[in-house]
Amino acid sequence: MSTVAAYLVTGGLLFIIGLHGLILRRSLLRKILALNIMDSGVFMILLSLAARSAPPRSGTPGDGINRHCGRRQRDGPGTGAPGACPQPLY
Amino acid sequence: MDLSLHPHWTVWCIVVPLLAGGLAVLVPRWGKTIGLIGAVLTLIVVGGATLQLLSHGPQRIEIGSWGAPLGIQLQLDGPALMMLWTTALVSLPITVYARDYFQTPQQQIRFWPLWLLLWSTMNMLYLSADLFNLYITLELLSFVSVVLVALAGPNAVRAAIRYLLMNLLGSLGFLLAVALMYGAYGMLDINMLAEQVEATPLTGLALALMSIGLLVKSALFPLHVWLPPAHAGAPAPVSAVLSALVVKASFYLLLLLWLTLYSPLVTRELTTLVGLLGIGAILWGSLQALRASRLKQLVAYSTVAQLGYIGLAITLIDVAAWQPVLTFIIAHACAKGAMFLAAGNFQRAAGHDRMALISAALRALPVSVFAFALAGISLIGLPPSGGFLAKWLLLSAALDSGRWLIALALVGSGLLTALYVFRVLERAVRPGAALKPVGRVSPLMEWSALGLGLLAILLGFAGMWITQILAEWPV
Repeated sequence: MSTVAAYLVTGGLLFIIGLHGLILRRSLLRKILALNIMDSGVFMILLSLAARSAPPRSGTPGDGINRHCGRRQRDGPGTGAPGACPQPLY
Repeated sequence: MDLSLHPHWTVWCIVVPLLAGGLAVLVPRWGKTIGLIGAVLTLIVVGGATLQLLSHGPQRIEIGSWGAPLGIQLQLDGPALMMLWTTALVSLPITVYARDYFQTPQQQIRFWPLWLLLWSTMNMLYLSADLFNLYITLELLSFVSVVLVALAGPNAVRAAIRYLLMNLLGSLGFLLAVALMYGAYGMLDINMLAEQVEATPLTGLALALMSIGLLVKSALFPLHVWLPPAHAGAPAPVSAVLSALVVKASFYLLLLLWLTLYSPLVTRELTTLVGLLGIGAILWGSLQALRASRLKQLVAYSTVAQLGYIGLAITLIDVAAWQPVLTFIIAHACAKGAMFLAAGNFQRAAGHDRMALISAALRALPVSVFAFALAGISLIGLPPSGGFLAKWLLLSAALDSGRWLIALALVGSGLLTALYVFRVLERAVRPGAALKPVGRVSPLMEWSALGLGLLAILLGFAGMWITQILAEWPV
């Protein structure tokens, strides 16, 4: 949980840094960059909130992840050894 | 006709303008026709949604039959229906106006898809019952509005960029608040959240971020700085839509969230703060409108001032909830739409909108002056206009709950409004020759402005209807 908290705080800091830049910088390019930093802060918060309860990699039977990976195996040959869940490319 | 056979009128309110917009991209040559047909069809579909509400009561629709925690729900209730109607009634004359306003094919090609997309987005905002979906509609709304402002040409780019930056700031605040709410409660559906929300510090932070984000987008003083350049610089039909509808959409959302989701956290202090900002907006906006050197700037500052009334109305949500605010939103939407369309006509005829030289253009366009005057009557709040009805509702709510300062502000601000409205009308009756118009103002452009002005007055007679709808189908 403490790792998650660290990421949450970092996300909040990024948001504030971006806000600071957006308000105080005069150059348009810097303002847009500052907006992007704010964005990153929000995304980091969203991701670390999601990371609080990590879904199992190879899910239990009947959950969404497992079905999805089973379909991929059927559709695309050579995506992995039988029984293993193919890792997405990105 | 058995309406249960057509259960998706609500969805069509979003899909029809969206499809029309897509079609306008594919067949740019027919943009005008597609725009008009799309507008009429949307009006019909909103009528269908009304019949559905009348016969079946409030609706929740699960898109693609995905249930609430995972899927996105649409919700049709009284306030949402009022906003749908406001948007449709104001948008139809603006569509007719825009048909003749844009002259170059390049502007036409860009305007129609964006305009229909904007309409669809607004309808989606009113109907969404999911926080993340609401964020998406807000984001779409700002992007489309910014591009529409920039249609005015190189002179408007500065205003458009400022508008973009401020609105993105508001959106990001909203998004962060959505993330916090999701982190705290693990769900995004408004109705399910409303049952769970507790007054914790985290929820308070989310409320603060969301409210500030929405107030930036609603341009409540002192967060209004982006509004006057953007609304004054945009093409006339776009100014009308932005001032009449787009700023109201975020106000509607603010009110919805405060009345449902955050009702345990919205204290008297908070609403009083918004009310004080509202008084600031009325004073500052009216003062700037009195000093404005350009007509469209005057009308834009008048919007800043009038949005202050919504701030005032929010202080009364504990006694009066939706009714005064929504009545005010509808009355102001019609009046401000008419005013911007008329201002656009004067600008087109004179080739500029400088107050010092505008009186010749005013004399040349009596119908538009009449539209402007009708809109002014509603803004000032003279009977029997819609503005009068809204102010009367606000005033009686303020007096019933013993809030004298608000009552005083309401009465005093009518006087300020009268001053800047007559600053324009006085120029219409100055002696002198009518000017030879520089640009062509078609009869349709004049009559659509007048139509909206008449609507602003006629709303004064629709009070019972509004009351009934809101009383029968609250959120």
